[in-house]
Amino acid sequence: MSVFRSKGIDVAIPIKPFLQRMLIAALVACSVLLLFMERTENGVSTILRMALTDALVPVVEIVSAPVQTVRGLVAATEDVFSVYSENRRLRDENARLMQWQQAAHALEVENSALRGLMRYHPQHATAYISARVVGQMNGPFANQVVISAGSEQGVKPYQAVINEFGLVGRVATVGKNSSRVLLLTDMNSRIPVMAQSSGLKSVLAGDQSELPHLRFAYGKQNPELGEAVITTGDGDVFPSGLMVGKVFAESDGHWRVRPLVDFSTLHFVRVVDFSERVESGNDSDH
Amino acid sequence: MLSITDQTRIWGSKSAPSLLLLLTVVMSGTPFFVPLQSMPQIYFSWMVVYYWSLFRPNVLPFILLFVAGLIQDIMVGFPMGVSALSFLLIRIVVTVCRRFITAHQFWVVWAGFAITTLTLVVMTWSIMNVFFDHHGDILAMFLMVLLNWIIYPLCHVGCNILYVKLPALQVR
Repeated sequence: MSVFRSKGIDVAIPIKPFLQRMLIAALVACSVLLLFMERTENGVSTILRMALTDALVPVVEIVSAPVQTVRGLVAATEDVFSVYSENRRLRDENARLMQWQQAAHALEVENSALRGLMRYHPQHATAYISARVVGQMNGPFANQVVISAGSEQGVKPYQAVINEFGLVGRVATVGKNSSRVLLLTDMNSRIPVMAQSSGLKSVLAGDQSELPHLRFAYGKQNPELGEAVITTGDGDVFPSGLMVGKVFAESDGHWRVRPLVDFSTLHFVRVVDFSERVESGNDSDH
Repeated sequence: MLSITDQTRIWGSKSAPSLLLLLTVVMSGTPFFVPLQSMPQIYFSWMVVYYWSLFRPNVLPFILLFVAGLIQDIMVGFPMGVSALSFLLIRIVVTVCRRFITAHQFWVVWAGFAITTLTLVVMTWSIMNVFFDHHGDILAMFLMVLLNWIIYPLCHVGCNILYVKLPALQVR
């Protein structure tokens, strides 16, 4: 408590509680200000968010190290028990894939010959950036992951993110060495897709459930249950033909899609850099 | 004069709740690779802030709550400011009511946590709805409140152990 003398009268002001109240008010005001900055999609809030994410990634990696170790041990134990059946399955799969390889090789030769005849040059070349999932956010408000690659590795906003099974989502914000990826199931996710057999074009919209739904579907016929859903490449943001999932069921007037990716066990992903233009040489007709 | 060992012990005692809060905040975004994607989120950080605001408010400074809130917002993908505001509100409200809550048995503390969690979830939902046009699933949010409320006694027991084990924290 400090004592001030004013016109001969001692006035006691409890400085410490007063300053604490001011601090509380200032911090609450800062929180609200940050919310407004996020609302207005101010660049400052994005820079602050990604700078903090970059700083936090090493800490998260340290905290998750024991989890990774346990996961590795569990996987190794499972492998030991399933090695015989897995070996048999892989032999069968290998035999099937050898046949497909021959077919694919023949198609590749035919395709390149036809491209030569048509003087066709693809507009884009696709490059991949591999990254590890270092943070995961699941809940009623967000379905996102943080990956260990950022602008220094060549990641840019809106790029598609895939794993060995199919499309995972898209890059939302990019930091120096980390990026935030919006999963297919996030309520902000909107991806132009197509049902592969029926040709039904639509937008795959996330709604925080495990099964995103098809919105604004247009086409001649309804999709069939179990039909594969792929990206269309509309808007020139995503490459076309990326596997997304399978039509699962119809509910509330929407077709639901089960993604091929298991988001709960995401470990490594690849960012698809689709922006590189291929030199087209002297040809002008595409 | 205290020896360096005693000073370190006291410093450790005072900072243990803060470190616990930071750990829970960082863990909220740590991938555990378990097939429980649809399971509601458990916010241990809310429990830690509630417990220490109730039984020893001075160990969690307001600045720390604000910073921890910002970290949690980044970890769980909330708009920045939501968790910071939540932590500050828990601390303010609980500090006002602590004499009443601590004067009763554990079930009052537990009920207090349920009311606090419900209020925070409604606040978060309102902010997401009004500010960001996110229409989250209300049922999922109530499940989240329920799960956090069920888990709270475990966290309470854990914090109690910390409270009792650390000598400097025994004095209220």
